[in-house]
Amino acid sequence: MSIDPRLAGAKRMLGNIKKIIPVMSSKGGVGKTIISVILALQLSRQGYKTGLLDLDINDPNTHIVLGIDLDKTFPEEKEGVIPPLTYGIRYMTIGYYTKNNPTPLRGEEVDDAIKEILAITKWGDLDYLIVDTPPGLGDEVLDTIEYLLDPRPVIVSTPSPLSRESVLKLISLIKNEGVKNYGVIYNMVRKQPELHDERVIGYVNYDESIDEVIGNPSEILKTKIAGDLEKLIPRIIKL
Amino acid sequence: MLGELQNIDKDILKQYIDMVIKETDYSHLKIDYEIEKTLLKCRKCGYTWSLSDIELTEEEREMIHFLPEAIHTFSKCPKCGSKDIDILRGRGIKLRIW
Repeated sequence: MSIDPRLAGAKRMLGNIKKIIPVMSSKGGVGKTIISVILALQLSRQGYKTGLLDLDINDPNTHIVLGIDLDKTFPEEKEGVIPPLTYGIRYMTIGYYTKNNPTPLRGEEVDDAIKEILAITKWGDLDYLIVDTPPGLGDEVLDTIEYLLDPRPVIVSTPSPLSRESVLKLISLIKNEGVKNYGVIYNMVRKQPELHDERVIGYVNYDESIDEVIGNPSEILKTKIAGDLEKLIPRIIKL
Repeated sequence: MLGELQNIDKDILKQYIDMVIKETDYSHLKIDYEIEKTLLKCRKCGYTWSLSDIELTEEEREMIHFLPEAIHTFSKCPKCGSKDIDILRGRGIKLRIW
């Protein structure tokens, strides 16, 4: 018999988190990372104990949005690793270990890296853990649903038919895997699409100014995107 | 079986496990600890090499200790230079029960 103790370890490490909210989309470039970071910042500002986990194993970049220098920040090791407190958020990324170097991992290794990160990260008591995930329908998505405890995904799409069709596949997949509570945010909206989906949390308008404030959390929170998202928080935390 | 990439001190781990297990009903169990040497393989040219064939800084070893997949960050094929490599052996901790 062979045992992998990491998943049992992961459950223990995630055990004191009240709600885990993965931000997911099968389509790339729809704004998952920006939305993840803003949600985490806003929840923290509202007084909730909040964590942010970057599960984009091949190309993590939440640290760029937060303006964190990976050469100067590193988690403390104490019966696991403790995510550093950054702008009020407990923040964890594989980037602490890979810095800004390319780290090409294939299927099984992505799964191994995710198990490892979940097993070593000591979150402590949190109200919310926001998880930024990469696009696609592969390992990270399956692991997010399988390994995180009772995940309540926020699914991000743009109004583009390409994105919406793609996201329908993701929704079908997560429902099939037993996820009951999820909601959809339409991002980069220029004209509100006509939709009749009860699962829509809301809309975030297109805001080209966001690129100018990447790396500056206090300015990010002043953008229209942040304003739109703030209105959706009551619905997100009820998922 | 302790993967070499994990860089875990076998003696310290044994000490801790012995300490915990002696208070339990399993104190009679015999536990062997074995380091599994690393074997890396280039997916592009097929070359294989081990950890002792490459040079890593202390900081890089530390990163790999926390996350063995970081070997992809700090190593490439010594023959063709590709970063598309497989870890064939030497990652993780495995427990085999007979």
